[in-house]
Amino acid sequence: MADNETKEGNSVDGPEVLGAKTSRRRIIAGMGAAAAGGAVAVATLSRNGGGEQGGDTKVVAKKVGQVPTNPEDEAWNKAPRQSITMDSQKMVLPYKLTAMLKAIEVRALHDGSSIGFRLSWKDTEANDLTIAVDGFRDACAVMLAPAGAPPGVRVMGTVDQPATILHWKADWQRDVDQGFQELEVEFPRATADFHPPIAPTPEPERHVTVTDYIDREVTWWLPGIHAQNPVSNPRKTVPVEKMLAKGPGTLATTDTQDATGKGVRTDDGWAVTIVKPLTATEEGEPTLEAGGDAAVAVALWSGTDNDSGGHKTPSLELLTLHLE
Amino acid sequence: MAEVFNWQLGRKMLYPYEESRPQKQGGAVFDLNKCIGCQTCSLACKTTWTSGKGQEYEFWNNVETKPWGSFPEAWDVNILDKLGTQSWGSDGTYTGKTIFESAPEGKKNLGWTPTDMDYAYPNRGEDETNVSIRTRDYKLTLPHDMWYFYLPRICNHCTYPACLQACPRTSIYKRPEDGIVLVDQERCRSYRVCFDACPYKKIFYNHTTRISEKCVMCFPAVEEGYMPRCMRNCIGKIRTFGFVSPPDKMREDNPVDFLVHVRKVAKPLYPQLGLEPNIYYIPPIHVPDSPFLRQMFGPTAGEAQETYKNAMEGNDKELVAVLLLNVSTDRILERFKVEGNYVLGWDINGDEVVRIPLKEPTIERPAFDEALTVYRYNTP
Repeated sequence: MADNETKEGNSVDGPEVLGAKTSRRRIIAGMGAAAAGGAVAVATLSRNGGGEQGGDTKVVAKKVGQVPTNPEDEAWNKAPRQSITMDSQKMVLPYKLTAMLKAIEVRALHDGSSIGFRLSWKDTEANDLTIAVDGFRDACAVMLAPAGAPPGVRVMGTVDQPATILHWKADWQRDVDQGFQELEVEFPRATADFHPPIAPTPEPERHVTVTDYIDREVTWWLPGIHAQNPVSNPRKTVPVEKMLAKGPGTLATTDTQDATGKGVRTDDGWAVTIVKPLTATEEGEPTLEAGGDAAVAVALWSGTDNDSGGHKTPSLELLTLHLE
Repeated sequence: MAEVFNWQLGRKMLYPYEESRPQKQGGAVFDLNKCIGCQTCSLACKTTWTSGKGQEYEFWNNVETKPWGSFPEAWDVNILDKLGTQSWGSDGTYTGKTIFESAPEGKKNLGWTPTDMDYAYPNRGEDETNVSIRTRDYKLTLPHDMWYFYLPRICNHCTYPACLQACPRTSIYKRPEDGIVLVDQERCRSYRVCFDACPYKKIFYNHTTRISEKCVMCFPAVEEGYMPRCMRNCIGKIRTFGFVSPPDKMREDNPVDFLVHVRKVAKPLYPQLGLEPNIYYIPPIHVPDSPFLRQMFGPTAGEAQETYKNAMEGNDKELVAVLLLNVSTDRILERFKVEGNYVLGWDINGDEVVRIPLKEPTIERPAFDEALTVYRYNTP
């Protein structure tokens, strides 16, 4: 298909931009795929059984030479486009009564040592700051469990079968790309006489920064940072957090943090990659291998709707992940 | 959902956790007849706990001016508005709904999420109303009862905290040894359901650490038997800090129990919300016993006013004695006794730490000091 050609079809929410920002394609899903001409081959790959409401129940990770971390890398075109049906969240209070969108596009690649997922979805308002008291972030996550995991694992794992969660956050992305976002980003005219024990400086433009606290070893004035809460970490190096959960409310950051990724804005949403080694490093985390299967689910958060925690849009089902 | 007993409501109510009272419950009584709105308590807390970058707007202790002000903006009006008109029975039982019993679909309780602008005017209602009523339209007509009072507030370390039950990952806990409610700084992931849930809006979000935090009732001091900073620094000596008991376990010689359960002069703040808060207030006697006051302190607010007035007229030596103990020492008092014209106080170790005359002795000095051969002057 030509880069500027668009096709109407039974579309999922919104167009999606892949590769260079000037190219534009409409996502084709459901029966509209058959009319896509050159896209038939891709459409066939994504029509694995057809889940509820026409979404895919299988995510296929195609083998490539190297999994790209950049969501704008052309290599993602090799991955089959899967459409994952999304759902509201009415299992654990507080509920998200309405899903933010009906489906998102997921692509997966692996190279024998790492696996990568590329999620893209429409969210016209970017929320990548969590400084304001009501500043909630956009985020997405991929959940992994061993193949054959019972459907209940979709709800944050179970005691018998933990779920591994790889969580990309838009505000972490911004911290990584632009450096830690101090509160002046949201409140540019904020001033204070004194932040003990850092002596007030005479320069009017000088603001106390987190670095001042770290250098002087007085981080107890910043309790979350002092407690080494990963959410408070002012020195993030990756925008993706790896966690394990054994049921709702049990989510915990894992000791090994070997996931990475990158999220970029598209014309009307996000395109995010989440990449991690195939080999598991945590108890309960599945080891993936070429030719093998696992269970996978995804979830989205929209800061515009004050999403956080379980107030999210999860995939309707726990899907099968197959590595070529 | 479990059924728990809320003695302030005089009935059982629904709450997500089983009833489980702590061994001791840190609490206090604030005498609103003596608060001068000096904000020393607010700054005592701030210099101790909330002077970090990201905490500038946080007032774990704040003092607002009623009826005009509130911090954050309209915190009480908002939740009362959402709750709607409710009633108390003639026997003193609350017949209305709590915020837990009014939970909308998909939420654990009635609540609302503030924005940063709601914290922008901490002392609203204090200064800007001090202009002639002829120059601004305050909708005042004669006859009108001109009154105001200061309402100092901290986290109430409730028996049934809304914040604690809201957190989907149990990052908030209530200590069994002293009932202090804390946000686990390692565990919080800033979902901020607690921020939405607390009707008193005493959970805050740190702009720098990006997680929630709240009043810790100066637990390191309380563990050693010392009062929290806001209590021990009170200039007006309005605060009685101690360990408050439920009615069936109260001790008459415990200062806080005496005020709350024996004289019943100390009332909870907006008890109808259903959290069984553990900070109590002696209602101001210059405010009419009105729907406003009863909405704030319950249907027996007027009785508390009468009890207080009676004591101020010289008819209740014991009540005056207990109030004199306020901030007379930095030690937490667990026991008091009136002995003759003195009131004595014992700390948590059983040591007598304070002995106060009920009437401050008057000493007359002649105008000329013979020993120093100088005149004494009255210095104002």
